Amino acid sequence: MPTITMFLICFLLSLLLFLIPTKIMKIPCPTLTMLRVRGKQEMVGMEQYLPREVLSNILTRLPVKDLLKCKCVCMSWFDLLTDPHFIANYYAVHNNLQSQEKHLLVIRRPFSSALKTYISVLSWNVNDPKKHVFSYDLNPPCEFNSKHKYWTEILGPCNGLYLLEGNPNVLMNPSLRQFRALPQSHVTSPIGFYFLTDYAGFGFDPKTSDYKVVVIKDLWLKETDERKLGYWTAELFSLNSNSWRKLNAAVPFSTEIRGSSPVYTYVNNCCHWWGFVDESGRKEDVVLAFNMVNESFRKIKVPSLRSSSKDESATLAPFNEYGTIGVIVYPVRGKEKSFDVWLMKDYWDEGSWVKQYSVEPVEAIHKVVGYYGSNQFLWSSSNNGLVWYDCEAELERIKDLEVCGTNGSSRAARYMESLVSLKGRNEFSCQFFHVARLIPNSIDQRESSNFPIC
Amino acid sequence: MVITAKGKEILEIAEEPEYVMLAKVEDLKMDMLRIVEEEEIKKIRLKTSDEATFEVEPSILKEMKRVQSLINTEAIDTSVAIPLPNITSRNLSRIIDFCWEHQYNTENLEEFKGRFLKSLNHQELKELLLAANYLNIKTLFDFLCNSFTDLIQNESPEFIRDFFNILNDTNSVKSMHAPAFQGSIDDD
Repeated sequence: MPTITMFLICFLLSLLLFLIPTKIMKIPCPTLTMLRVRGKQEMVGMEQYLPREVLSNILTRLPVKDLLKCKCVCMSWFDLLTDPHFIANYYAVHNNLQSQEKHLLVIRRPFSSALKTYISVLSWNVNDPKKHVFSYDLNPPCEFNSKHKYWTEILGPCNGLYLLEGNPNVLMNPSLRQFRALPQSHVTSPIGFYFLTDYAGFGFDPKTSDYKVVVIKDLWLKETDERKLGYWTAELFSLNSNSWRKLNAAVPFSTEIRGSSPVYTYVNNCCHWWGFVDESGRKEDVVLAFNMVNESFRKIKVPSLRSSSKDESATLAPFNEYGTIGVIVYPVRGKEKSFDVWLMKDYWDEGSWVKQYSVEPVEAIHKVVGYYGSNQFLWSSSNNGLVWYDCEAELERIKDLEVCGTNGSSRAARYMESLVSLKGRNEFSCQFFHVARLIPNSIDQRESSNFPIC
Repeated sequence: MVITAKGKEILEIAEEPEYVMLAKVEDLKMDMLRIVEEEEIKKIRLKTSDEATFEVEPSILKEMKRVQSLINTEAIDTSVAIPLPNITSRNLSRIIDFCWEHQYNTENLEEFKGRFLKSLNHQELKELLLAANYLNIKTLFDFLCNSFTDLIQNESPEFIRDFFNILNDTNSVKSMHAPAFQGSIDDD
């Protein structure tokens, strides 16, 4: 019996000895396998996932509507697509990938009886032998469809954002389908006066990473309905704060503004208006500049570029890759128009204005209504059509874009794809466009591409 | 070799002021490039991850910016095969094919590109893209990036996930950071 008990005890002890180490061993075991599994996953991941810079290169080639879908693929893609560096790089690279493809943002009022403004995107390929122009309309949210809502100027592109000047002023990113009305301003006119005309400027302040809109208002005396010449009130809207504030910077005394420029002239962080000063009865052309960073005005002297404002029109435009400003001078009347291009060689030197070149008379151009890029301009024709004119093109200098806007209502700017969002800066809602296939066109039946809503 | 002799010259001028030195180094680099170009007869050998050795013509080698910079800057002994541990022999032969056609086949290049693309499945396409990225071959890299873009354009997120073999981790994270992510979802 004792031997049996001894044997049993020995057996139990040996069992324990065997069991304990395995029990001890068993504790690290799961972590080991976990590690191994994780290691394997990482390895698989390395094989399957593309490095961020390679992925970024692929995605930069996609249009914004596809990138919105890509945001939902996985978190790392979402991170990449919302990274400010990617967004900035996308804007700079994507829009210059295919230089033979042209994209235009156009606003126009096709019917003379109504104020309704159509917003459309026109696209064509320079090498297309059939010379088709594809187009689609961007329909603003329905509350903007009233009779009294309209737009007269396009200010942009500024990192892919556009300000539509009109009633009301709106900011939009057409590629993200974002459309946002600016809030009501609270600046009131001095007692006994009222505001009549607004002149807007739009730009990006890199110092505060803010988009700003500046509006200059003229002053009218209530009693006599007379304008108080040379007096202005200016206010500034900041997208980051989503609010207006009154600007204390004074508009240089006695400067008058001739009107909003049909060409977006945002150069060296300054927006510009074409104006004049009254020098003892003689009206001398000047450029009024507003610096979005310093928030200050500047008057830029202009030499005498034209015989008189009655006979010759002048339109401000950016030149030298947005390095400086220039003026296109052309006769008001006449079927054929020649035009001169003047520019400031050095943007910071008033004395550096030179006549850069002259263009021989061109038929079918009537008025400058937009700017595309280096010497490529949009003109309206005498029968209200929209015409593309490229001074440097060897073959097709002039192209009829086959859209029309009554009473000189057409404006055009380069359309650029951008991920810069009007949302997310604060809690304010911002509505979306609907994209429509149709374009009711009073002069022609054109092909319009189907642009699906993603 | 001539290159090493030039290398000595670089050492000798190291005591001169920086701007002079930079200019001289640039000159020397240009000289070296010319020397490499002159050695047309000499093919360079590349060794892939599976130990296969390829003799590559200098004109093809020029496309491979990474190998080119290795040869130019490090004064590598070109009699020994340069190892390319990230690239398989199959991919290298495809790359050489592509570079050759890109240089000499000016007439049917588009047709060749079509055939080239058809012969690859998704996994091979990805591998080749990484190889082109590693070797820094701009023409091939751009071509493959464009091909990827064409393949995923107008497709759903599910398709893209399948295509790149990506796990959908957006749902779990969405519940954690709901407000931050919602904006992007309703953008869609």
